[in-house]
Order: sequence, then structure tokens, then C-alpha cells
Amino acid sequence: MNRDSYVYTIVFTFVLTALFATLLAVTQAYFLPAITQNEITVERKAILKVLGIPEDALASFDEQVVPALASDLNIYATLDAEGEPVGYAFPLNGQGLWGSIRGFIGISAEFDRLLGMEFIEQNETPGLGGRIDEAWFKEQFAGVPLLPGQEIVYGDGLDSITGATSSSNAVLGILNDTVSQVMTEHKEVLAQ
Amino acid sequence: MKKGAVKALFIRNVWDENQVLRQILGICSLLAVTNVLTNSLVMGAGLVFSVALSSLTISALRNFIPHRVRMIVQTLIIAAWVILFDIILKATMPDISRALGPYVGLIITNCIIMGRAEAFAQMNPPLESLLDGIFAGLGYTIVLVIIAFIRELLGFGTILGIDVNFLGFETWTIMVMPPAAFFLVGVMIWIVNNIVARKQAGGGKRG
Repeated sequence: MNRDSYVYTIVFTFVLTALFATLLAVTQAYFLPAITQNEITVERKAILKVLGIPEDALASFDEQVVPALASDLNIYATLDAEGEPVGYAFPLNGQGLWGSIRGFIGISAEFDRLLGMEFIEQNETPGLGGRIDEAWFKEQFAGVPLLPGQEIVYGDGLDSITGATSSSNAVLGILNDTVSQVMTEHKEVLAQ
Repeated sequence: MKKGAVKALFIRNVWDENQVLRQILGICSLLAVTNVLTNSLVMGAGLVFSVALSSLTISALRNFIPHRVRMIVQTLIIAAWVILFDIILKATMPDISRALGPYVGLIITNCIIMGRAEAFAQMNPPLESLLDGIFAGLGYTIVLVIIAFIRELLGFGTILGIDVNFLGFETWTIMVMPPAAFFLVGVMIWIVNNIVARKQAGGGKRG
């Protein structure tokens, strides 16, 4: 068998690729339920966090948090004892420096301040932009007032990350976009 | 395979030709993941797993791989094992998988694996290649762990996430950031090079 013939090369590459693709497909299929479950857990933890509910409430997620709109299952509300909403969680989506950033933000029922911000997915540089996922950075957004017609900016108690200006600004941009979208699209519907 | 050969393979890969300190390979991932010890251990495990299985596969197929496409075939094999590790990590250790982010996938481009494939696996039998891969991965992991230990201790005051800052010293933020890894790797390379140079000089005198 001539190892350098075209036919051999093509057949060999084809067979090997098929073999490894099958191996990966089988593994992926086998682990898919666990991976999906993990993703749901991460998402639920983020929703609880931005609404200011302790993480150990994860087991009773459906009692703590309800979908706020029948039409959009990704907006959640947490209710007080009388069934009045206390806060809403909205999905956060946008482009970071290197890839998409996904997460949730919490907004008070009066739509006058942020309750929190959490990320589910981000691909910023570990150690630099990746630090947007550190607790101190995210926690400083809790309690930031939302004033009509004013965007959130860094400074005055809100710090961006040294050495990661682009990622910091990307997060702020996504946050402001999400907030303005909430104010124009969802505020009136939810306030009813 | 003789007993002495295993020991020689181990010493060569972990010390004499250490991938990080002597060959300056795998630096990118080292800079990124060594700010926390747990991540470093998982990254090391991932590399040992990927390089060992890639070397084994490439060695087993070494007489069948067409020469002109051998690097593409090597990349394919490496990518398959790394993705396999990534899937397992996502399913079993989601928090660490999230913390390591893109760096697990980037093991594919880690020069250590391709280096072992080209320099060893493609001309040695499978068992030797497997051991060579494991030892090369261990050499990388050991350096990672030493650096992560220092960085996590001084940067966060913790070891494996456990607070050990009994003295209450002010933690150094720089240690958590990439520059600290450069300093520490540089110092380690300097020390190791000195030891090796001294040994060679000493050996010369006696000889």
C-alpha cells in the first residue's frame, strides 16, 4: 500500500474523521442531559442573584420566581407576600470584546434602580476582561439609580476594570441598551 | 520496555526538557489559569489527558498516517481528545468549566501536544508515547501548580479557595493579574537555568 498515494490519503483522512466525529457525537449525546441541567442551574442561580434572593432558594425556584409576562418566558418577577411584584429579572444580551455576553439584570418594580447584574456566559480574556465576572465588579451595580433619559456611566462609585477598558465599556453598553429596551418595551406592560 | 527507560523518560520530561521551563512552551495558558490553584490543577489534568491520549493515538497510527497530511491528522486527533475532555468537564464540573472558559478548547493549540507528537509519538511505540505524554503533561502541571500556589496565596490569601491569611497581610492584586505570572515564570526559568548550568560546569571540572 502506497502511503503517499492520493486515494490512500483521502480514504485514510475520511475514515479517521468519521471515527472521531462519531466518538465525539456519542459522548456529547451521552452527556447532554447533564450539560443542559447544569446550564439551567446556572441560569436560575443568576436570576435569583439579580433579584436579591439567597442562592439556597434554588430548590424552590418556581415558588420564589414567576414568569412576569405570558408572552416572554425569559422575564421573571419576584413577588411579596401580597402577590405584588418586588422586582423583575430581564435577560442581558450583547457583544463583548471577544464574544457574546449573556446574563440577567434585576430591576426594581418601580423601575427606578438596578437590583443586580449576573453573567451566564462571557468569553473575555481570563485575568483581564474576564474579571467582569468577579463579585466586586457585578455587585457595585446593585442599587444604581435608573434616571429617565440618563445612561449609566462609570465614576461616582462605579469602577471599570483596570487593563480591561474595552470589556468594561462593552458591559456598560449592553447594560444601557437592555435598560432602555426595558423602559420602552416592557415597563408599561408590566406596570399594569 | 525496561524499568530504567521509564525513569529516564520521566526525568527528561519533568526536568531536563521541562516543557515550560526549558522549552518555553504552553506559556499562554500558564499566564491565564495560574491565578487560582484549582483551575491550574484542572488545566493540568486536561493537558495530561489530552497529550497522553493524543500521543498514544498518533503513535498507534504512526505507520498508517500519510506523511504529507500528518500535521492535519495530528491536529484532528488532538482536537478530538480535547473536545472530549471539554464535554466531560462541562457535564461534571460546570463551575470550573466556566472559570476556565475558552482555555480548555485552546489546549488544542497548546504547542506541547503538537511538540510531543512531532518529536516523539510519530517515531516511537504506543506505550512509550503514552508515558512520554503523561510525563510531559506532568512537567507542565508541576510548574503550573507551583506558580498558582504562590499567586493564589499572595493574591487572594487562600489555598484551594480556603482562607489561610492568618497573619492578615494585605493581598497583592498584582499577583492575580497576568504580569505576576510573567515575573514568577521568569524567576523560575532563571533558577532552573542556573542549576542546570552549574551542574554542567561542575560536571566538566570533575570530568
